[in-house]
Amino acid sequence: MPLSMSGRKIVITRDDASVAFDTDEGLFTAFDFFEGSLVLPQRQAVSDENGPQTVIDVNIDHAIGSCHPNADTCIGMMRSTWTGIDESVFGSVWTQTCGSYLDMIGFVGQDGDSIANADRYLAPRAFGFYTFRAAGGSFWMNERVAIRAWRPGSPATWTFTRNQCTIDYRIYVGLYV
Amino acid sequence: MTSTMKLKLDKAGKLAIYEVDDAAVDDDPFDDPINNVARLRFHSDLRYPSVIDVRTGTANFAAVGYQQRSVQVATLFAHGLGGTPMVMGQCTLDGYTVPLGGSVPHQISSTGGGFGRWFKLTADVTNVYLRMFAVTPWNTGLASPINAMSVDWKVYVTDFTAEGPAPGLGSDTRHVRMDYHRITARRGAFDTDKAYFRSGTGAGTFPVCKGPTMDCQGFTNPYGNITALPWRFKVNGYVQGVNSYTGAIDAPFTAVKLE
Repeated sequence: MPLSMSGRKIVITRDDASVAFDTDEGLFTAFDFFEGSLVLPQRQAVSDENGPQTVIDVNIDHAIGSCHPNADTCIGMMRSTWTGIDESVFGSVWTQTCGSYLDMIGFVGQDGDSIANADRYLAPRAFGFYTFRAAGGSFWMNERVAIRAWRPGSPATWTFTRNQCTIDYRIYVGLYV
Repeated sequence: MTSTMKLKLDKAGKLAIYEVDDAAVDDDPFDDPINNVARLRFHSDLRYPSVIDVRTGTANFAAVGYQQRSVQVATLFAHGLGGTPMVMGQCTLDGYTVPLGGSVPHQISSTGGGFGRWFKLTADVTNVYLRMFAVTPWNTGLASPINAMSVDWKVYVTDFTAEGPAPGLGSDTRHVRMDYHRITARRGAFDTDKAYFRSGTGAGTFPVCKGPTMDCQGFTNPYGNITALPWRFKVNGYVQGVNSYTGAIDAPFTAVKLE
């Protein structure tokens, strides 16, 4: 375990010569730790073939807390759990938070509505994902949801729902120093 | 300014490494690390998630025919820990090294509404998994079905778990230990036998994203129109999505070494 200290640089290498620490590199340093849950309300689009067609377009930053003003990286875990019928993409499983998490994707006819077979899986009608972010001293989760309830043929009225869901998280927020 | 790295350890066991001006040596980063991050390199009062295991392998997924929603779960390995660990990972898709952060699309029908497959790295108290979700269109006029596929993966298991108390000090009776083979600090919470998230360049790095990897522009039409939902995923040159997207998503990331 050589510890090398030479003026501008301190390096620690392991017995196999791999680097354990080097002051010339950035080391992810967690200045804040957040643990909790966000409850996201139901999102629902309703369509009438001969009337109004609602389109849901949610792009909301859910504030969680304050963090170091230079923090820009969120390294941790999250899971999404829907209330009632869970039609989420991956179900309620723990996963890590570096990137956008797809929770919902829906296509016409995927849920067994009685439309002509040729129309099943014809076109998209729902897309939803979440992203944890840190910048400017704030930490938040962005909810991006787009839903339309369009379906070809009768009955004329149709709804498409993303149930209320709970986002559990345990996340370090920090930066490479 | 001519600078030098300073390592300081006090009687209470606080250890820090920081940059100082040769002409005006101070201990501000030691005393107040939060407000002196520009000169800080390490401080035992702060937290450093670490990697305790690295595994590689190949996961196999079956083909998916038309008009289906399909979830396939590949069990990658048993992690042997007492909780659900945070796992980081990367895989090779279409020749790109793609981080398994968030959800990763593949074989998306760019002109056919966004059908395709998505990968997700997950863990529970026993195993680490690579999950594949696929949704396929009604006929060949929209997109190809999902092919059978093998995915080469690399997974980093961290010491950070979903259960238990918030991460804190280690349980070592000594604040700092230094011997020929190992250095520990923060009562063992920082340990050179583990690997940490280090930014770097070149071989051995992979992108760890620090922002959105996807963007969606909402429905452009409440009716029909298979291209009515423009979205795109982009990380480190790897792009998936729908051609009607007109935005500029390109995920910010840090090239990181985890070994």
